[in-house]
Amino acid sequence: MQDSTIWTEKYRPQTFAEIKGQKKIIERIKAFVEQKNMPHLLLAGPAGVGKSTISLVIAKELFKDTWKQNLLELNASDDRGIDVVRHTIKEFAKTKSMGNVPFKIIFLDECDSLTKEAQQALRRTMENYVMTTRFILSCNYSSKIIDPIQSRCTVFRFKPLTEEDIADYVKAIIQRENLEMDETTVKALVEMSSGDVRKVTNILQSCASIEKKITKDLIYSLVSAAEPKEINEIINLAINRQFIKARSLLLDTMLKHGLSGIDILKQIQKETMELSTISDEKRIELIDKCGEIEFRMVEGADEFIQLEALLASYAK
Amino acid sequence: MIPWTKKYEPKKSTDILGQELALYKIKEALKLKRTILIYGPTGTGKTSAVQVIGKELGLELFEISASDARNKENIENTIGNSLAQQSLFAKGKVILIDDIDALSGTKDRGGLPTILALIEKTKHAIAITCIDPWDDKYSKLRKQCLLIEFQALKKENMFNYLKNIADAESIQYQEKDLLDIIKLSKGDMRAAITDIQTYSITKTINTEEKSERDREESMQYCLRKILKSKKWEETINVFDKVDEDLNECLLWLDENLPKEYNAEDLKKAYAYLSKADVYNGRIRRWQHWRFLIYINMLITSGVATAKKETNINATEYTRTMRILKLWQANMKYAKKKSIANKIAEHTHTSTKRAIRDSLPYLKNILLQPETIKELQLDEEEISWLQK
Repeated sequence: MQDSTIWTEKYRPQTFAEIKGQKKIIERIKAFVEQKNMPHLLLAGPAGVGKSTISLVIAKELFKDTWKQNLLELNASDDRGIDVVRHTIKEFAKTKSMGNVPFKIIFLDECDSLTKEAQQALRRTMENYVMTTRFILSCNYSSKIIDPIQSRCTVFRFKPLTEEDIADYVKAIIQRENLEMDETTVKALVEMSSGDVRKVTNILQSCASIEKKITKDLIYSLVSAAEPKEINEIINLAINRQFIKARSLLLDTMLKHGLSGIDILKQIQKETMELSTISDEKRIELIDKCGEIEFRMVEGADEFIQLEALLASYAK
Repeated sequence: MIPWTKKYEPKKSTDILGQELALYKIKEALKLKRTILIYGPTGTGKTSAVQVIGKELGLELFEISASDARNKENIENTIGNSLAQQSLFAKGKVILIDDIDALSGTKDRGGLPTILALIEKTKHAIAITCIDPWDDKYSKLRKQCLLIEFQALKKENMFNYLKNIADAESIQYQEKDLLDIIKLSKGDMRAAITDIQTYSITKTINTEEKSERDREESMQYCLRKILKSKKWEETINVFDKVDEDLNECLLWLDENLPKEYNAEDLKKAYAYLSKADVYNGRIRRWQHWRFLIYINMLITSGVATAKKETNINATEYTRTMRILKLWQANMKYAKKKSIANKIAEHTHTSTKRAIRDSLPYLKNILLQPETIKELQLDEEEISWLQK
């Protein structure tokens, strides 16, 4: 197969041995694969730590050449509507697996975004097809998955990759692509990624398309160009009691960049840490408020109303 | 006076608009004597479809509709007998069980199991209609039926149909009024035809439209109370009088609050409003409806008493533009989304994440010929990227 032109795919580990970090999890999962027997799995952990990669490797190692026919990949946040999920799953699970493994695998990514009702339906589907199909579910927070599903799965909790793991991975790419990058620049890139390999790889590829010799400045300029700059302005409007302008810019920013409430909140929180125009007393009050609002959004509250409530408390 | 819904009901299958695929499926299923479950919004032609296609196939129609009692005995009496008999002139039969949603728990007791048994037994085609087939109690039924979906009607389809009726009845009408009728019907042809008949008599804008306006006026009144008054007893019950659901009230309040409050007052009011939204989520999550009491208090007297200052200027309250903007953005960023979708499928992630973590960095990489080929980007997507 020809290498993908997108590096996140080109450099995606193809075997258990190639996967960085997550050693203990891999030990156990390997045992399942060797015995050609596997329970349903629930993989929980932050973005870009290898949940999808491991799922793909499981399929590749289990089914070898026929892995594509025996794996159904769905993303719960895209293929929303449990009916779609149910229908596709049913069609897939109806036929028998190819080769010498007695089951097929359905990988359902980002299960956090399924409603409780959808999860109930999924639970039943999991039961109905247990003879022919194993599910690998992935999510960011296992607390968002209903107990009956959790109890049917072996749960693996993924830790964020260490900075060394990511640095190793970055260096491997540098070598393969003949790039130039010194140690401190690698470190800066890794720090910026908050443990997300996908993001690191995308930034790296973006830099490499401009210059072979990658500098800190280049990385910063690309990252800041990709990040919305309006957040600072929104906060300043809010501080200066221009609430209506602030919220209208907020909405436009969210829509223009396709950002979720949590994405925006992260940025607001970062900016708040660096605001020079407020007292430290006010700063901690606002950070506390950010935390509360984030909690509410995770719980499923209306993102926009919650963000408005946050902005309203910035007024001086 | 004959209701126009009757007068202008579909006479042949081509009269049913915008459901071509569903009609084809029904026709084939009836030929094969399958059992079908037709679902979709009211007034989209589900029942009519069975009636006219049945006629076109020369089938004899047996109908059990919501108006009949549908307990076990009754169903067996009407249908059971007829099934045993050979049809007159040996025509095939189709049994139409209309509106199965309307089976009531107590009166139609045993109705659903009887229908299920009937499906097992019968050699004839059965067509069942319903609005929402996804309830748990229909899980068995769903398994035994071929599911066929009807969609809410499209505006242009409805417009032409209504125009024909209007012309046939020689009604004088404004195009805008027809469009309003269509808008209010939400894809329900029956509702639209009923409305246009009313319109033909009153020769004025139809009553629904007016009531929409009433609703807006009473919303203005409520908001004025909450945002201008500070008194608990004046504000606590204001939303009782409006016929709007809670989310709508929340949105109205959210949109207009910052026009009246500022600084500390605004902060406090938003604290209550956002808390109400939290309770709203908790109701969904825990199915504990008593939280409604707190929501109601928070968004009425809570918001009202949050202010120290009352804005003395008159304010025109407006409907939120948020939903509209969301919709517009979806149109505007459709290309972006379709590109992200291709990246997502290719790189094992969600569209949302591709938009956030891949697209901003990969723009010029995506324009390389090999990548265009790999992702099979089309002309429009490429030109979006070049912008």
